[in-house]
Amino acid sequence: MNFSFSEEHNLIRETAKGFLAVSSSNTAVREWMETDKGYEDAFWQTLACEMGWAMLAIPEEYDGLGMGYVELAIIMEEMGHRLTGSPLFATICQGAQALIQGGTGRQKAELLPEIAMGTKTATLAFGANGSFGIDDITFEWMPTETGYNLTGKASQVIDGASADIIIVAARHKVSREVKMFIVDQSAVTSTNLKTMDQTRRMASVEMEDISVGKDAILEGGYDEFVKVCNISSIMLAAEQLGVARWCLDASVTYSLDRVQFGRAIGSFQSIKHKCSDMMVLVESGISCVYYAACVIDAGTDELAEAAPTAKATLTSSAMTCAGECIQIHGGIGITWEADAHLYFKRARAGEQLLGSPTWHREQMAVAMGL
Amino acid sequence: MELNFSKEEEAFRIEVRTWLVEHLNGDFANVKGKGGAGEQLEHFDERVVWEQFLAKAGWAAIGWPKALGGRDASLMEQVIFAEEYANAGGPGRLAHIGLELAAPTIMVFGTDEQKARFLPKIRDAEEMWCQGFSEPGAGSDLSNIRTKATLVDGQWVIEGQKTWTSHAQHSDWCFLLCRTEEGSKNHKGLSFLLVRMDQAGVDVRPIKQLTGDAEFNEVFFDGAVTAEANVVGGVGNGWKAAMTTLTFERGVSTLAQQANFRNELDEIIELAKGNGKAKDPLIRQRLAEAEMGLRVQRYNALRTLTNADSGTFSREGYITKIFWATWHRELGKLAMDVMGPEAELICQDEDYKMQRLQNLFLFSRSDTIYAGTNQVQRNIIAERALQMPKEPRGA
Ligand SMILES: Cc1cc2nc3c(=O)[nH]c(=O)nc-3n(C[C@H](O)[C@H](O)[C@H](O)COP(=O)(O)OP(=O)(O)OC[C@H]3O[C@@H](n4cnc5c(N)ncnc54)[C@H](O)[C@@H]3O)c2cc1C
Repeated sequence: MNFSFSEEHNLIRETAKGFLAVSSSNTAVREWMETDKGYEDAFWQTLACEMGWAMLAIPEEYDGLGMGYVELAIIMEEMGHRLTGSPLFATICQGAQALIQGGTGRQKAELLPEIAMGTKTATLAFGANGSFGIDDITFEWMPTETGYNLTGKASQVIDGASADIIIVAARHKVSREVKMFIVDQSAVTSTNLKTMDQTRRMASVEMEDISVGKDAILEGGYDEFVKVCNISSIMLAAEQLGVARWCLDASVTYSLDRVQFGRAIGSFQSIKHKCSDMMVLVESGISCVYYAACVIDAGTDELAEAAPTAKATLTSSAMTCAGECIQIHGGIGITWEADAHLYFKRARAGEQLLGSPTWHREQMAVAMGL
Repeated sequence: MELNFSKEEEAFRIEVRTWLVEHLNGDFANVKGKGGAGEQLEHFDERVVWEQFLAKAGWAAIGWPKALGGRDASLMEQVIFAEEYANAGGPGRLAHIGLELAAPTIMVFGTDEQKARFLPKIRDAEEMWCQGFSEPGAGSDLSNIRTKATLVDGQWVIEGQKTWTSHAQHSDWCFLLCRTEEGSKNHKGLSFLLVRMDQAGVDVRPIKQLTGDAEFNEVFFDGAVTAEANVVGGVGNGWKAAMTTLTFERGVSTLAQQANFRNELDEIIELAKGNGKAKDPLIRQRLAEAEMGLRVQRYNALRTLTNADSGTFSREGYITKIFWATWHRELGKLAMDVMGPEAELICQDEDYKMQRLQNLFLFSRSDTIYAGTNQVQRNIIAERALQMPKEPRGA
């Protein structure tokens, strides 16, 4: 048993931190917020290829670096900390995961190398509620002579309008068997949605009786789909950890700087105690996220408990920290100019995405046999 | 990062389990599961015998060096032992104040003579210990201690009062923080003395607690004495020694508790399944949240331990106390809500005796008070881990 970061982990983190401090400044974040895709192609190329973040967790046989999920979580945490606009989450933590967990050898060989190089982006479309129970799936499939027929509409698909490849999870019209399909962006009707959190794009994805070939169906079924969503939940939790950490850091820094009643507001006990409570959430959050990431690497059944624990805990923690961060900033916290609201909105979006904390606690209740 | 226990660790687990299961279902079945939260005094004498038996078999102080009769067990092995101990229904450890607070402090600061005199008897549960820190005027503000000791004819003569002293009524020794320098203030001029309880100048008066039991006491010192040599860490260095004791109290020694928490939560889950409360959507949510909180405690403890083992500084150690205390207090409330109306009815065939979960509910209120209240923990986190300004002191 050894549960601490290795030198290599620390190096990955320091490199990411240093790089993002410069390239993902708040000016950059606000520029990305104004773009159609929510990110810039050139910058994505830098992240994907030069930094190697797209290939990081792709197996070596498909031109990736074959690193583990702890490494990926470190990157996600640091990107959450900076609200970096990029298709990394949807592409690597969702789309590529579906291929890795459920794809056939041929599908992997064809698509993963391109994803690893950052030349193709991907996402996962399945429903409208965020949560990923079998009843949440809003697409249906039927076999045809030449392949499969797909129908349905998903809303709030991350990068749904820009991703090159959309992995669609659908239920068989009659038997309700769940399967995943590779669908090209050009085959669907996708529309960007206006969202409260502007640091990430959501789209609706609609398919009306479209046909895909026999080679579009993934091997994996519902179990693999749930596994993919559990993995993405943990990676989302890592992002939210970054959000919570930023809120703590910003609160402490501001409270040492701002003077009222002749003293730094950080000397008031009520402010100190808020910051302490935030640190409790952040530190326990680190333990929680990286334990869960290790569980993905270990490939055990514990994923069914580690994922809801991480998702419910960290998304609630991020929300609490982001709220306190606004409070500690006073009037400035309510302005558009200060970054506090960007984190607050990202925290809120993360709560609902991939299932609310309530839904994840219910998953845990089920796992506990309640 | 590696979450699996090594082959050696797994083998150790099996060895511990086998031994515990054999004895807790055999000769010591009478103490199995006794002495939990709020029931510290239950089956007292039988539990002392059990402690002595543990010591004879070499299981009392496995983390101690072999030379002192321990097993040189790693922190991870100590965790494994604690987990197996709780799983097997091992009774609440009566010797824990000696083993987990007195002994480590003596190991760090004690003289060779003190180590030779005190450690074996702590290990063998031949002498029980209590912690004489708090006073009526010195709680969170521990440095405000007034109890004083003066050297007269080669021994310390002690005058003053301690309070909230757990287990004083059946302790042989007390480690006492007191003022040895006339006129000194705050953390200066304090010494850490070892004092025999069974003597004329020591008067122990149990204080009845909210559960109806009396686990802690007032202790009056009126001309009590102890040998000049019974000062740990040198005269005037008591604060340093006491802070070390508190580190043990707030840190690693809480790991054994987590395994007990597991048992308590399991009991509540079983109850909820049995009485239908598990179907109540809000109770389900709270049970799941409790389960998640317990897991997070475990993850955090594993991280703290690995970092402690390798000497890496990191902040997660600071959150241990406030996290478990707050979680456990919440569990107490949850237990009552799962019991429903039954929660109000205590044992009907006795005067005023709580059932198990009622004791948990009531006594868990003390978790956020002793070993540094939640507010004091928050001050510590803010000031030490986050480097925020210190609290101003009154005159
Ligand atoms: C069950 C139990 C067993 C105990 N066993 C022992 C024992 O064996 N030996 C021993 O020496 N002691 C023991 N104690 C005593 C324990 O250490 C003290 O109760 C504790 O340190 C708090 O001190 P106090 O009770 O005087 O409360 P106070 O310090 O008076 O605190 C009262 C309230 O004021 C708050 N407060 C105090 N200072 C601050 C501050 N600076 N900022 C914000 N809020 C503050 C506290 O958080 C608390 O809410 C035990 C206590 C309990 C409950």
